[in-house]
Amino acid sequence: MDPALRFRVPAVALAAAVVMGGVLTGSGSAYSANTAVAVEDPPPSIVEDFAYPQAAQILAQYTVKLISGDGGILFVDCATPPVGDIGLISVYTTAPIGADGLGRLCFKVTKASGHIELEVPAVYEIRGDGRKTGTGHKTTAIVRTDAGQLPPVTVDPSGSTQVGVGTSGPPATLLQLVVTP
Amino acid sequence: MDRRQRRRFGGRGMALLAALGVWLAALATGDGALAVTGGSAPADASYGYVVKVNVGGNRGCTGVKLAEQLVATSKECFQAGSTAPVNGPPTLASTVTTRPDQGSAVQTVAVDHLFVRDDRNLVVAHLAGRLLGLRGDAPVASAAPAAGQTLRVLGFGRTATEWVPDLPHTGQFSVQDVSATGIGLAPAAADGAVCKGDAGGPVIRENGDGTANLVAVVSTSWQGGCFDATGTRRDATATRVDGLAEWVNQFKEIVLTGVVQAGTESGCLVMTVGADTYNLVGGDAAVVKAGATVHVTGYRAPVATGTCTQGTRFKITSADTVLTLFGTVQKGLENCLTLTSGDVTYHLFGGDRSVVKVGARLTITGYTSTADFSLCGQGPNLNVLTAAAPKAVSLRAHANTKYVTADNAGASALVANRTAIGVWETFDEIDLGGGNIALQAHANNNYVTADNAGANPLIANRGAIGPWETFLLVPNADGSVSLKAGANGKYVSADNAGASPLIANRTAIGVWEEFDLINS
Repeated sequence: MDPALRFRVPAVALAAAVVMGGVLTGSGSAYSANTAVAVEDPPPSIVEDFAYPQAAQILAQYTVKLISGDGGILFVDCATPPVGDIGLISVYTTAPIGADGLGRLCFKVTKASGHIELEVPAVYEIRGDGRKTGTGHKTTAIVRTDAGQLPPVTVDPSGSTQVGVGTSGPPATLLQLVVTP
Repeated sequence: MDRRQRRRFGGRGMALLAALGVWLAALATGDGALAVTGGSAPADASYGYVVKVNVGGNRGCTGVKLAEQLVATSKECFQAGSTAPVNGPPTLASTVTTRPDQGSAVQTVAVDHLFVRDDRNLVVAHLAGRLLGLRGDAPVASAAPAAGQTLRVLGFGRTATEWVPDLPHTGQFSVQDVSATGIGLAPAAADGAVCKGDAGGPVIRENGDGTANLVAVVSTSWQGGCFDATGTRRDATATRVDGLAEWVNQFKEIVLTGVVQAGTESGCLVMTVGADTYNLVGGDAAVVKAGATVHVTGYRAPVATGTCTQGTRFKITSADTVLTLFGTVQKGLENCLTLTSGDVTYHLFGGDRSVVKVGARLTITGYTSTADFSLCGQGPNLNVLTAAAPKAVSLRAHANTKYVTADNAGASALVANRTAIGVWETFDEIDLGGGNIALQAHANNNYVTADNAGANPLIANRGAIGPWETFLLVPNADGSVSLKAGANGKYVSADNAGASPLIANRTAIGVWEEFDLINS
């Protein structure tokens, strides 16, 4: 077992218990119990594993399964305002997921290049983040159907690109978005 | 300070909710500048030696440049599943990336070798290319850290709000405890913490004169306040690096010049330089081959298991054949120094200018360089390694303990029949490389030849050095030497116990073929 994991598990479990119980004042004693063991143990690993942060909360709240990434593409609230001509990459799915359950997921590009690994079923359209022709990030999408993984889909940076049932094809699951300079 | 006292009890749940709120806020605004490791802005660009380390695309750490091709970081970063890294090339494709604010494009360089420290969470990664133009440096500290000292931590890890920052952040930490290989750290500021991605980040001591020294690299942390971390403890551990300068230095690039020899094991090549033996790995096989004299650049690169057992494994990054030339230094075009040997005129580059000067007759060893020196367009560049003038010597035959003379001012054959050294008994010994020499008689300034392909006695009557004028200087166990003629591969003999002229016609060394080589 990964030594880091050994320490991480109880910490998360404890935190979850505290939050779910909503008892903020009760944390003192729990904390003491935790550290009584921890004093002899080394602290957890600080190697960045690129697992998507707060993936569990996001899955619970938005029913969106985010797996990993490099920080260059982030899952955001669709109400996030655009910056100049650059808005958000929108992913549309027939699945009832996302903030409002209407099947729209938004992603913000925060670096010159980046990637995000995820699993979004029944995607039918991906809208690039350029708000007018000639703008937007170069974006590629990897999707999979029951028949297997398809060749990378080049997304129109400033328009909509149909995938899966949007192309009258079989349902497609979005696995990865990649942005390149 | 005791760890217990440092604990902060309040706000555990609050911190978690706040973190989530900040994340969403950060997502909304794209702002994630608040540093967890203290301070609110990224570390100043003068900390250019802090680099990002990526292993296998799914492990992110921080490293610190020790040399253009060496970076220290956390050993744990190179962990592949349950397999710890060992000396040798990394098992996962790994890169080092520089900060984007160092005045040039971001440099991303592959890691080609790991030097693993067995006793602590530390590796030194050797890079396939050089990190150039990075600002600042932090040489390995010699002084040990002590409890209570304040040290600076730098890392590319998470902040309170940002997942994978492009720039490192920094904070001051105080040393809590010191062991043989590690230190405990606690943040000096309330918002300080060491977060995921900071592993391997430098812990430096900033000196009063503006310099800094590397004391440790970050190892583990409780990550309180870090983005997406749930705990509140903020103490961390780091791996000591102080005192390891010598260990690090052995991995720096060095150059070796010497003769390549076949090793004991098949396929292994070794070179002995002074008291050290190296097992040569890599390099152009046409250059690095048994028997060749080469000039190699590379680094000591031990591996956990290897087939060659002789010497320290040495990974060659560039190799050049060493040439030995003899001639007179000339002033060439553009006032460059040249030396013509055979049909080739070389431009001499480097070397001691008090020796390598116009008019000097020298034996020069060096290697050709393809680098373009625009000022000296004449001929290939020869990087001078050594330059030496011929030395005057005399030969005393063991056959009769008499000195060899170029009799009759060189007009007659060489014969060993003089009891004292004069001009006729003095020769310039010219080093031709590979143990070969030529002898130039002071009597008439001509070169000694094994005339008629060795069939006739030795005589000093040639104006240039060819195979007949080349002799292999063979050292004997008693300190004397023998001369093996390039003309016919036979040993020069003071024939008839020295009564006859010297002639190259013996296939073995006996007393008549032994001479004392005496420096005049």
